[in-house]
Amino acid sequence: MSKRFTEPRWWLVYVGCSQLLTLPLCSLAAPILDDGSDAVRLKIAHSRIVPTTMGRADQLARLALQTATGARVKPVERTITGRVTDDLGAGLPGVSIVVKGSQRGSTTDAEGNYKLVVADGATTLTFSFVGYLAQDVAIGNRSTVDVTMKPDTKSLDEVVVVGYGTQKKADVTGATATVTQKEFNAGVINNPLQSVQGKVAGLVIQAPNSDPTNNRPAIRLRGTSSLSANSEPLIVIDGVAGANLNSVTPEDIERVDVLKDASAAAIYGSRGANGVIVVTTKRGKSGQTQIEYNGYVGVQNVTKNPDVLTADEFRQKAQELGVRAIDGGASTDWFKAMEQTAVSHNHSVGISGGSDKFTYRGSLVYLNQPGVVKNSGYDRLNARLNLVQKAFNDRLEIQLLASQQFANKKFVDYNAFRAATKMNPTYPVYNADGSFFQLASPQIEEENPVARISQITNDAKEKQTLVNGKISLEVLKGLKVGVNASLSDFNYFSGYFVPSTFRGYANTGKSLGNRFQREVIDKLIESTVSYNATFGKSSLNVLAGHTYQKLSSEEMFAENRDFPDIFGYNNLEAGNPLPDGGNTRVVRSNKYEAILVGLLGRVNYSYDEKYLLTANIRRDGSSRFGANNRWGVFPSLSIGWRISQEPFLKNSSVVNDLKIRLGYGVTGNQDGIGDYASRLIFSQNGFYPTNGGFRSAYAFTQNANPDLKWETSAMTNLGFDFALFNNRVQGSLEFYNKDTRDLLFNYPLSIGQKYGSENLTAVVGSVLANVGQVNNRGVELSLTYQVIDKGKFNWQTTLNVAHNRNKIVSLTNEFYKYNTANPTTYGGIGSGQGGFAGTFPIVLQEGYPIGQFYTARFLRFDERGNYVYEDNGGGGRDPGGKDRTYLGSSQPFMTLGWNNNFQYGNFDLNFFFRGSLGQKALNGPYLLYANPGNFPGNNVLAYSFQSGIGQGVASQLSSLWIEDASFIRLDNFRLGYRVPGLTRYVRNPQVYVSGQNLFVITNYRGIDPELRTGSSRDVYGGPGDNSVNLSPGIDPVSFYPRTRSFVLGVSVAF
Amino acid sequence: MKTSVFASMLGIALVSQACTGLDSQVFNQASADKFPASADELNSIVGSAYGQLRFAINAVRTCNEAASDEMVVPTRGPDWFDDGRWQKFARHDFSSVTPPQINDSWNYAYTGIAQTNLYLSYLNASTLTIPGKATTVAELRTLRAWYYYVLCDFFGRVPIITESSPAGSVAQSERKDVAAFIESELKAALPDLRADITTETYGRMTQGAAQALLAKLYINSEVYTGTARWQDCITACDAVTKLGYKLNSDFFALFATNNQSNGANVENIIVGVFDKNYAGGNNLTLETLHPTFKAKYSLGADSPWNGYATYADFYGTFANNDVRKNQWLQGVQTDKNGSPIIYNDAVTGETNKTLNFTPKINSIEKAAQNEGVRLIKYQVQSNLPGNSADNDWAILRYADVLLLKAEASLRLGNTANALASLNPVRVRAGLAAVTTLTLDEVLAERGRELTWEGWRRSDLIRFGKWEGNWTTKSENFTTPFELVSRDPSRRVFPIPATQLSSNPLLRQNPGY
Repeated sequence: MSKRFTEPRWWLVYVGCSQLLTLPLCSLAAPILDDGSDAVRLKIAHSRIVPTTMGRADQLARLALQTATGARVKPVERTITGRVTDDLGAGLPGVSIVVKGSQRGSTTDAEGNYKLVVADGATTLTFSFVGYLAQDVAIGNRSTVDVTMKPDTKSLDEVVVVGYGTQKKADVTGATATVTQKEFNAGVINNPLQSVQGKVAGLVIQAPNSDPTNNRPAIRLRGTSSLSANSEPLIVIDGVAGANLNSVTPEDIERVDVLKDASAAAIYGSRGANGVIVVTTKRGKSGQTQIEYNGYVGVQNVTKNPDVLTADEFRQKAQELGVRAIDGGASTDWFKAMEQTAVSHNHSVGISGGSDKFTYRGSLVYLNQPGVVKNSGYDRLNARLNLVQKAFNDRLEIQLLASQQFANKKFVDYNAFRAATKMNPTYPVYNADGSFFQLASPQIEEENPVARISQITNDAKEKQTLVNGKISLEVLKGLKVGVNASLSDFNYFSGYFVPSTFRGYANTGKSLGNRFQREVIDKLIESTVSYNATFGKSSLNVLAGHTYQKLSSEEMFAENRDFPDIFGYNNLEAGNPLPDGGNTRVVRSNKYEAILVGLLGRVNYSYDEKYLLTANIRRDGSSRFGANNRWGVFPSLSIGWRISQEPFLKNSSVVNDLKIRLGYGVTGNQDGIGDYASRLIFSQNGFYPTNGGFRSAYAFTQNANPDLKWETSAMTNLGFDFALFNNRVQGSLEFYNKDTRDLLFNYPLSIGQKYGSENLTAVVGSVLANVGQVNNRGVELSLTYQVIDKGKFNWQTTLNVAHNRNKIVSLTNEFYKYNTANPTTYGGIGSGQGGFAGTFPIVLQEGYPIGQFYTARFLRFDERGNYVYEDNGGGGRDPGGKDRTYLGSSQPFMTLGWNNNFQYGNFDLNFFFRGSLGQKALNGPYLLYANPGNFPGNNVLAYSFQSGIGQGVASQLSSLWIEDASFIRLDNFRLGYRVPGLTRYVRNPQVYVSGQNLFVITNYRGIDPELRTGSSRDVYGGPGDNSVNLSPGIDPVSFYPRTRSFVLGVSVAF
Repeated sequence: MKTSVFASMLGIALVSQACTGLDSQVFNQASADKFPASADELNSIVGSAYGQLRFAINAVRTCNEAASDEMVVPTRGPDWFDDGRWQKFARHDFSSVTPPQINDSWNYAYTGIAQTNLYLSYLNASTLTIPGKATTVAELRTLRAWYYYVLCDFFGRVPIITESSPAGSVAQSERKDVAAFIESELKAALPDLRADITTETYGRMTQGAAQALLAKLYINSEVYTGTARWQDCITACDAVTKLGYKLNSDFFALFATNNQSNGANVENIIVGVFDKNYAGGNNLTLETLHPTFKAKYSLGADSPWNGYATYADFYGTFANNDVRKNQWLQGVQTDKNGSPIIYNDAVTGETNKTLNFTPKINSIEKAAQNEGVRLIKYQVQSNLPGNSADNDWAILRYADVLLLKAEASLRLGNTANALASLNPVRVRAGLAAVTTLTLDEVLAERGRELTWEGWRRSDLIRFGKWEGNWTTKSENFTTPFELVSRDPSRRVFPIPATQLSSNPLLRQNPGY
């Protein structure tokens, strides 16, 4: 026995050396462990079979009996058989049956039958199965005990996966939300977070289009609180902070927990300021081996293309206006010529099982999702193996979680859709000889878009490996130590090839190929120690830990030109020099890394299950920050009062549960800034001429900021959880106020200017500094109402509504003064050649939200069809300058999700509306292409001729193109049927049809009102596009359409 | 097995404890505390100071030309509105926000100044033994003087920041003090600068460059300081001549794609060195030509942008026998095979139109694609991999120096000297020498010789013609327009708003 504890001693060596752990903990654990003869005592303390209701003396007595008396009198036994079924009568396999008060037990077989030998004195059997309510059934004199299990709708909700552990929902004092697999959106889904889109109040997940290769939606929780840094929540997968979402598929996910407020997220300290999304993957369950299969076929189509003139309308309009228009003799719908009906299919196979000591779950998921644009698409294979081994009477638990993804992406150049909008519809797609038709002088806005998407190869392969090992040991009763180590390797390898035959925009008549490779390695090791204890009515849980994470990225790029087309991008060295000997080869490589270290601590205390308290503290260090500010401390405190536990409510027939929570915490943000953001950097910066040749020149490319530090968010949250009327109405209500200070902001400087606390000299035109303050405050309501619950017929409706108000409080501090008189504007229209260079519609201004539109207010058209603007200081003549004014924000007033779930017999029907109200959008395509002056040189939107714009009047940015983009979407619909009569062969056989994006109710004139909310997070948090981040709500002219999909799916288990 | 898993994880745990520090390594860039470490590395960063010089081709040139009588960028239907910036240039409608090229010019100059200041302090502090260190220092000071020259000319009152400026924001100096600073810097640098006109000194700041800049400073002295210094200008011009600079016999060779090696360096004194591979940014061809010229010249990536053109009356100042008239594209244009180019005009809705560049333009708000004659002074380079061409940008030429001397001499009443300086420039252009000369004729000659080279604005101001009436002439526009302001305050640009916000000591120029 004593030998077994050799390893724990090693462990303690490590623990003892950890910066966090203090001597008292070591000394608490060590003396007991050192004495191997205490093994029995340990066993007593840790035995799990002891019912907790027993007194300690009883425990000792019984255990002494069991362990000390080796030979006992064999008792009289009898056999009990039976069948366990679910509420619909199907046999339930894998149900565990235990004789109450003993270790004896069995599990049901594939048909739900079981057989169990029990001691004669046994009185009660306990039936339990995950997802169902456990039942104690008296045996009496029966030899056959049949049981019908009742699904436990609340069972998964009862626990919340908080950082570094779980907590009973009743005890949680922070603002959290949980979505379990059952509630996931159905359909063609290629990103795990799409599964929970709209399901959590305040969590906004928006993909700006339906491009399957762009499967990284922008995520915002409780508003945007960063300027130059990332505003996305931290993703934690099975305890790995910052893990890549690609390492899981929706099918592998058990549950998603959202930690909304600072008190919940504070355990992630410097990375928790935007909230935390905790993804937990499925584990195997003890019992019988289970094989699940889920598959679907989905059909996707484009919902709406821009309303341009058809070829016939084009000809007719020219005639009507009496202008000559080019008639290429064909009738081409350029959008249709690029688009296709995409048939996707997805297959997921999971195998799980195990014993009470060892469980496993392995899965393979394959998705093939062609794009609705030809020659584009996405396919991926995910493999996952989750192993859990318990030992030493369950005191030791080892988990190995490994996943691997292989993905292929074929990209679409969105500019093709811009060209499709403008290209004359009477031009053909192909010439008579079968080659692509092209104009003599193609432009990016006017060329054959089909040639662009067909002739140019643009693809990438991605690999994501995540290996995660966890070990936890209960050293003493209630005292657990654990290590969580993970290694993630993300590999991206892309290729781009333009054949010499390409005659579209920017062709050189020569082939061009390049390859780009990026590898990101993320190593994490965390150690924690926790202690659980109950003293009388008090219950205490203490957690302390240490984390160390190192992220390194390496990149390599090579390009060459003029080689035979047959090589594609596979033989770059075959290129030829230019006729005059000039070089066309390009090579680049680089590498960067970041280190994050954290020390964390948490105390949960509850008294009488009524009064709850959680306190967190985390001290974090990051290599990204300036030498003066590398470490930060992030505390939080929250309290809860379960009023329903008080005597005056305890027996209330109305109020079943009521809890008030109040929390305050400080969290930090550092995601999305460069790894060396605080340092003065020299980089290769072009070449300088010398002696008739050139040599590499080096220059300062980044200003130093030794004061650079975290953004810090202080959030107060007041929340109410309630269950009323016999639990038929459940919900929560949250009020929060979040002040984010020391915003990471690329502050503009004039070169040569002295800046910062150390009076450094600016060497480039901006510095990443901590300037300014943003406030987000809001209300969130989640309500679930069991409308009908009548045996066969159930109707449950769930509504979540969130309101967030975002405001930039300040952009100035002691060292940096923002020019509020001439504020900076962001957000290009996306048309380099459309006459809109330097036109930025969104302003960053104190007192206004992020995403504030700022341009001239359009009043009317004059008799010549010229724009008339409101005079705001420029006489109405300066729409791009002095006449600009504040014109609404691209942030919604309210977001909502409304889910309805009906069950009738074997049918279930689910439909889900998602909406966003009150936001404005800049309709880029209308701004540029609803101008009659572009006709007949280019095709135009049909609206051009109703717009009132005079012939030859240039398109101009103004309020005319800023529209209300409120919408409500029937986002998801699912009708399932549980096939009866097959339960002998398969379990849970189900077929379903589902639809995604069935319709949208909106007044917005563009193809879809749901636009980007900001730049999405780069894999592993590289710097995002600052300009995109600060300009949500712009409908781009280079776009990818949105799709509607219908899915036919089947799921079975064996 | 369990034990080994356990043990190996413990191993990881132990190893991790060895590296809890936060010192991440920098790989592909250099932290300033580790670089430069050798004389070569130091030269490589000093060299990058020259990288900035060539970008005078962008905003600085545009500010000098697009508001003058020799360049116009009309809006062409859906193209070239760009927030109204081009029309604002044409109308002299400058504000602290637009056109943005004003702020770009400020940044151009101060980026160069910041670089040279930093490199000067590095050189001062460096203990490395670098051959020719004194010359390097002198070059950097001359380079910096050029950037201050741009600032002095554009904005008048600007802050003077040097490598030894104290901490904190710096207030503006008076324009005359900025001019005095430039003069003293150039004079201080002169003795250590190289004097030879060779491959080694090509693209670098030499004695010729410093003297030519002094000549520029002196010719504008009355504008900058209120005191004319015509004689000083002549002295500086003569110093340039003495160094061996001369007119290149072939005018167009000065702007050829191989102008770094075809002997043009006897005339091109200060150049911005461009290269299709190593020093990108020369898009001159694209700015002015019609898209159909991509096929004609087998151009690189982009089809030309069809923007910059000139005024009909300016085009009219070129005599037919003037070699320099060949820099313009006017009339029907032909393709590779000599057939007329056919295109569709998105502005007018006309299709299958023959491309015919006409001098007259409909209006600044709406010009057809073919309106306005185009400049191909810089040789059009075919078969490029991208948009950047090889032609080096001539910032200051000896022909300009000769014309400066002619102007200064004339202003001092010495017509003979003036003619002796100006006539060689005319003769090279294939024109007859003149025997009489007026200031107006000097300005006209400058226009013809230095078209679009980035000096027109300052010339017009010096000759009192900046508030001219070219925009109102019916020969130029079917629908003419007025300048927004003829106030002398428009002779300097406004201090950009961005700069006002980052330096609280800056004061806006009067009138803005």
